[in-house]
Amino acid sequence: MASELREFYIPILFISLIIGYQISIYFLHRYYKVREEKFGFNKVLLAYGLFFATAFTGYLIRTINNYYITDPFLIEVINPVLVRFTVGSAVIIFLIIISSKPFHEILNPNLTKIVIIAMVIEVSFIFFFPPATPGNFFAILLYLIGLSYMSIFHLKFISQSIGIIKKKLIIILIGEIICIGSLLIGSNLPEGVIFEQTDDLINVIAILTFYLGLMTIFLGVFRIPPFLEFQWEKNLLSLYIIDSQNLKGLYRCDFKELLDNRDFPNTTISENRIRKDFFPNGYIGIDKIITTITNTKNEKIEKIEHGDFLILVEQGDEPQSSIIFTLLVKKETHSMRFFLKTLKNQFQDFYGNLLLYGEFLDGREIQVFSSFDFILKNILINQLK
Amino acid sequence: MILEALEFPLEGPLREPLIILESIILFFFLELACYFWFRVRSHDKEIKSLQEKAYIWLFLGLYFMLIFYIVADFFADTPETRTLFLNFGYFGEMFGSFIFLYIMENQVVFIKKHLITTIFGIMMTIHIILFFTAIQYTQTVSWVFLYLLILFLFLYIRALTSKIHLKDPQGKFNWDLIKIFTGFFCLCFGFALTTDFAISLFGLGIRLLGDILQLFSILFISLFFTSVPSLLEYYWQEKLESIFLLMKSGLCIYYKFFREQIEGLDETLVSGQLATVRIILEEITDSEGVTIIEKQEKTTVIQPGQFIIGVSISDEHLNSIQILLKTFVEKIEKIYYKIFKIWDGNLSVFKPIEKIANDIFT
Repeated sequence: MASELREFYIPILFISLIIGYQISIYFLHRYYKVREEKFGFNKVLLAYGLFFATAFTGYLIRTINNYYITDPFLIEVINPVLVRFTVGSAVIIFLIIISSKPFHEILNPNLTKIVIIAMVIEVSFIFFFPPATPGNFFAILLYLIGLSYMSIFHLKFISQSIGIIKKKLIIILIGEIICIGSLLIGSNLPEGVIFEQTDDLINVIAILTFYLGLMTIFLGVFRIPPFLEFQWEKNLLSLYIIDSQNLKGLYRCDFKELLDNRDFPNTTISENRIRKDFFPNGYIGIDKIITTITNTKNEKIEKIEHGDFLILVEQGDEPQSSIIFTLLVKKETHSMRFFLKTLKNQFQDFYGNLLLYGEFLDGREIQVFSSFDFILKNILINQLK
Repeated sequence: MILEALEFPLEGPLREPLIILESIILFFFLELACYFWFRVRSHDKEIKSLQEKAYIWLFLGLYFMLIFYIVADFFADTPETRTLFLNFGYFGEMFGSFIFLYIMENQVVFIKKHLITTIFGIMMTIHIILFFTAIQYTQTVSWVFLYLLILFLFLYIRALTSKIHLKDPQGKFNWDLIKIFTGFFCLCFGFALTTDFAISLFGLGIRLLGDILQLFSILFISLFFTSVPSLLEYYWQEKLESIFLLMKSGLCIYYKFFREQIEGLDETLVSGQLATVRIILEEITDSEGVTIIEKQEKTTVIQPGQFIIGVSISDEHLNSIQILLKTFVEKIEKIYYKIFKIWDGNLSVFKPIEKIANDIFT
């Protein structure tokens, strides 16, 4: 490469490497942040994080090999063996993670296992077949199958996702397409097909496009929310917030009423609904009886199963520990518990110490706390729209 | 020690590693500017965002400075073009730092209101005059900007240290201080090693070391900037005198005096008069919106909402107080939305506002 272009090209190449590793770290950071919630789909963050880390290690080796190593033997060995080994391993790691149980509803697990085996064979072939042999061609074919399978997974994952997650995944996909396109332009593949010879300038254009692709991926992964189970919201029934100290219902929302309305952000949730409702007093009664029977004053109910219904319970944090958050659902999932915790945190953040001064509300709790409708709708919009 | 005559553009085996390292530093400056821009966009209702707006300019200034430094030292063919590009770099740094200082000093008074910004502005004017008349001296003058920036950061950290200990019994802030001092030591020392004087003295290798130190400094400084609380979050408390919440009719539903109440000043009287002021202004200007009335030593901000009007009286006009007042009005309107719609004149329902005010204003 001409010296002037090299001085422009190499720094961008290294910056691209840094962005690649940053993307990897950011994916892993997002994964570890919500790891305790045990959402199965969040493993996709781990898969992408490890994929980027391993693939960019291959890219780093390739960069050092192409621009700094002068030994012909090392050049011969490193490029076809080490680089393809690391990139192949990146695909294998990704596929192993997505072959786990939560992803069985997206991809056929047996097919995933077959592709993993094919990729393992491909990586093994690198050591036995030198470049430009029929065996090597076969290995490249397997390699393409692995990458295509990854893309199919990504597309299926997008098609089943909703809300912000879907938008973010589409942005990541666009970034990946730009990156792959730039890698193809920058590689020797188009030589003789599209261009007569791979020009230095084409390499510079390719690296700039690659940079753009990486920035797009970064934008996609930036503040990506946790991956909840698909269609988790269909199991939501209603939410009750109860003041167990003053034996009052503070807030209630019927999700069926809310979600059935296509235009739910503009739906007003009906008023004057708690007083008539038996639920708050009923729940407090159950809690007292169970506490007496089991002699567990310091422990609170976490969940009640009854027939086809389930009541998930979260107690408020100090100093609002007398506030009980209950979510009626059809089926318990990790997403439900996470949703309830999110609601609890938002309610406590928004009303804060107002909850401790309930006596001044003088029977107007329903009117005051019904403003939580706005927050609840926002949480749902972020997840579903 | 012998000073070697430096030849530009810099050549030799270290040329490429230096370009790579300095490009990476350049990228980190831009990345930090973008990071704070994203934060400001998503938290524009927080006081901290005012400070983060200033950081954007600081890092953008450094970014543009470094771009021109790289061009000047590695690609400028003649000493004249190098000087020209170096000066473009100084302008980048000056412009970014000037806006940074202006935003910061707009919120916090250190020695005198806008003192450092004013000195900086005067130096900028001198620099521009020198650029057109005696360009050979601009490099020396450019050091003044660095000293001013260091002086400002020193004053800032000193002010922050004096305030933050009141709210930091666990001593977490000490770690932040270690980060910032390590960061600034590495940045200043690293920068000193990249100067023409240091390279003449020790050779090009010292610039490589300087660049590595600056890379480390960015890590420490960004850790400090992202974790430390804003001085603005403490400063406004000294300046705020009182707040009022009025119904559109002028009836006061809440008031709080942060200092001793002025004798003879009745909240009902104040609220009635403030509502009148607002009505008069609306009639005169035929428009609604925030009203800011500045007198020599007192500023009154009137923030209208859908149902209520928030009023703050403070010693100075600070954006931080205005942001808090707006947050306060919005929160009360959200919580009491349904109450306001059908309000029957019962004031007891507003008693919990005291706690909400304490959450926001203490």
